Amino acid sequence: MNFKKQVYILAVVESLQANGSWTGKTHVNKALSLLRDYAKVDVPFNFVLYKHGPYSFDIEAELEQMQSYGALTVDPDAQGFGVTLQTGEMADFVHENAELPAATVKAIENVCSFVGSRNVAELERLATASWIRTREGISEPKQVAKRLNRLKPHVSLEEAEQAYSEISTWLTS
Amino acid sequence: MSKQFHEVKDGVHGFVVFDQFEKLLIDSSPMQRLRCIHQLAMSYQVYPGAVHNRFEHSLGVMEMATRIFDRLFNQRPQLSDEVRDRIDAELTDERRGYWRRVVRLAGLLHDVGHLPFSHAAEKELLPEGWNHERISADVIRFSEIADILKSQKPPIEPEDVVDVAWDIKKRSEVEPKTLSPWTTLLNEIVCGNTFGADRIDYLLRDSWHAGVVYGRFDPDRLVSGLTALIDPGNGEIALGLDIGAIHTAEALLLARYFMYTQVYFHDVRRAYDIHLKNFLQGWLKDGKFSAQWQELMKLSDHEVLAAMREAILDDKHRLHDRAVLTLARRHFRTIYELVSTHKKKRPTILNDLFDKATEKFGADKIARDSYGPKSEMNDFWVKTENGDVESSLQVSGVIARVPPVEIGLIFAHPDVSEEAKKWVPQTVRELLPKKRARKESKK
Repeated sequence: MNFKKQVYILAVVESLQANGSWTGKTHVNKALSLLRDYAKVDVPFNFVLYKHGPYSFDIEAELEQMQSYGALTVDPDAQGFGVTLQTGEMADFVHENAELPAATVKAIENVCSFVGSRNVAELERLATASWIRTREGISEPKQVAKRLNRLKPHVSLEEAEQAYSEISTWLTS
Repeated sequence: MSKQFHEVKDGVHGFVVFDQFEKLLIDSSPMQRLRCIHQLAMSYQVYPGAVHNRFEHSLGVMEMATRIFDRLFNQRPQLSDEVRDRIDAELTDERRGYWRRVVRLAGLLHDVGHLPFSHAAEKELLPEGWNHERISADVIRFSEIADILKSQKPPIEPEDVVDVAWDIKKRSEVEPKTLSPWTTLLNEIVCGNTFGADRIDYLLRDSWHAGVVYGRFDPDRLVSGLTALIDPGNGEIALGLDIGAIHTAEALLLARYFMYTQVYFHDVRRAYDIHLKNFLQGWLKDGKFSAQWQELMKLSDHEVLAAMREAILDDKHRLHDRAVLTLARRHFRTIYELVSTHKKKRPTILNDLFDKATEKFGADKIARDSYGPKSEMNDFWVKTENGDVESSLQVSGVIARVPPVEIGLIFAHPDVSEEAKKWVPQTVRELLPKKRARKESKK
C-alpha cells in the first residue's frame, strides 16, 4: 500500500475526468509518463517502452490496490475499448494519507488537459515521441520519426513526424 | 546410427517429441539440474502429490509453445491479409523454421536459472536487481547452453532465445528492452499473461500433480482458437482469440483464480515458504544466493534439504530451530486472513494488526504474508463471427467479473497460536471503524 504513489494516480484520474476524458488505463499511464517529460516531476513509477508506448507495470499494481479498497472503480468501457476508471468512495482515504505539492497538481492539470480524450493510438505516438526526445536524447525531427517508425512499424513516418511536431510544441510551451 | 527424433511420455501432454539437437540441450547440466527443483516449493507439505519438478514443466512449455506457434503460423491462410503483410518477412520457410526453433527452445529454457525451491522468497534471497529470469538469461547466454545453441546449423542466436523466453514484464524490472512487434508476439506465446504456454502448462500440470480439479480447462480448444490480429486500439499486431474459444478462455482464467486461491496461496504452503526463506537466510553466505549463474548451478533442492536434515538431527546446530519448523511440521499457524470487507473499512488493516500482534506476542513469534491484489480480469482482443475485433471484457461477462487474487495472512508460532487466535477477533473489532470513516471525512 503506497499512498505516495496512489496520490499521483488519483490526481490524474480526477483531472482526466474534469477534462472530459473517458479515462482508460492508457490515459493514466501516458499522462504520468508525460508528466515526467513535461514538468520534470520525479514521478514515482518506472516506465518501459511496451506494446502501446511508455508503460509502467507499477501503475497497474497500484491501480489494483486502489480498486481493492474502493479508492477507484474500474468498469468495462461502453465502447468496447478496455476499461474506464473513476474515483471511488474511498478516494478521500488516499488524500488523507498523502498529498502532492501545488506545483505538481498544476502540472498534472496541464498534462491531463493535453491528454484529454485522445485515443490510444494518438497517445501511443505522442508519448513515444516524447520518450525518444527526453529519454533517448534524439531531437532532430527526421531522426525521431525514423526511430518511432522503427519501434512502432504500424506508425507511418508522416504520422511520426506530426506526432513529434505536436509533442515538441507542447513540451516547450 | 543415433536416433534423429526422441520422445518422452508426459503425464499432461502425452508424447513430447524432440530432435537430436534439442536432446543435447535437454541433457545439458543446467537443464538436468531442474529435475532437482520442485515446481511448487514445499507445497507437498499440503498436497503430497505436488512433488513434480521444473524439468517436466520445461518440457511441457516447449510442447505447448510449439502447438501455439504452429496454430498461428503454420497455417498461413488463417492469417488476415493485413496481419500477413506485417509479418510476411518472418514467415518464409527458412525464417519460420528458425523462429519455430527459437520458440521451442525459449519454452524449454525459460526456467533454467530457477533458484532452489522455485519462487519461494526469491526477492529476499537474491541481490537487488536480480530475479530468476535474469539468471536464466545469463545461463542461456554464457553457459554450455550458449555453445550448443551456436553449434546448430544455422546457429541459434542465444539473444533471440532470451528475448522470447524472458517475460517482458519481469525483464522491465531489471533490464528494460524494447522488442519488435514480431518478437513481442513470440514472447507472448511463451510468457503471455493469458495465453502463454508457461501458464497453460503450469495450471494443468500443477493441478494434475496436486490432485485438485481447479486448474483444468481444454488446452486444445484454446490453442485452436488463437489467432494473430490487428489491435483496433493502436493498429499493432497482437495475439487474440476467435469467439468460438471464448468459453475455454473463461475456464482458463477461472482455473487460474482457483489455483491461486486454493493451491499457490494456500495458507500453510505460504507459512512453509516463510520458514524455508528463514532457513536459507541462515544457511547461505550473507543470507542470500549468489547472482553468479555458475554458483547457482551448484545448488538445488537436494543440497538445501540435506542441510536441513543435518540441522534437525543436531539439536545444537545453529539452524536447528529453523529446521524443526519445516521438517518436524511445527509450522506457524494462521491467526488472521484478510477479507475484502475489512480492507474496505480500513485499507491498512493487515499491517496495523500485524504491528499489534508483534507488540503483544514478540517479533519472533509472528509472521505475515501478502500478495496482490492481482486481477484475472484479462483484457484481450476477440475476433467475433462477423470479423469485428472486440474487447474480451465486452464479449464475456465472466471475464469481466473474475475477482482479483489477493491474500493477506498473519501467522503465529504454535506456542502462542491458540492464544493469538482468541486475541485477533477483538483486536480486529477495535481496529475497524464502527461506521465508515469516509462518510465522516467526506467534504
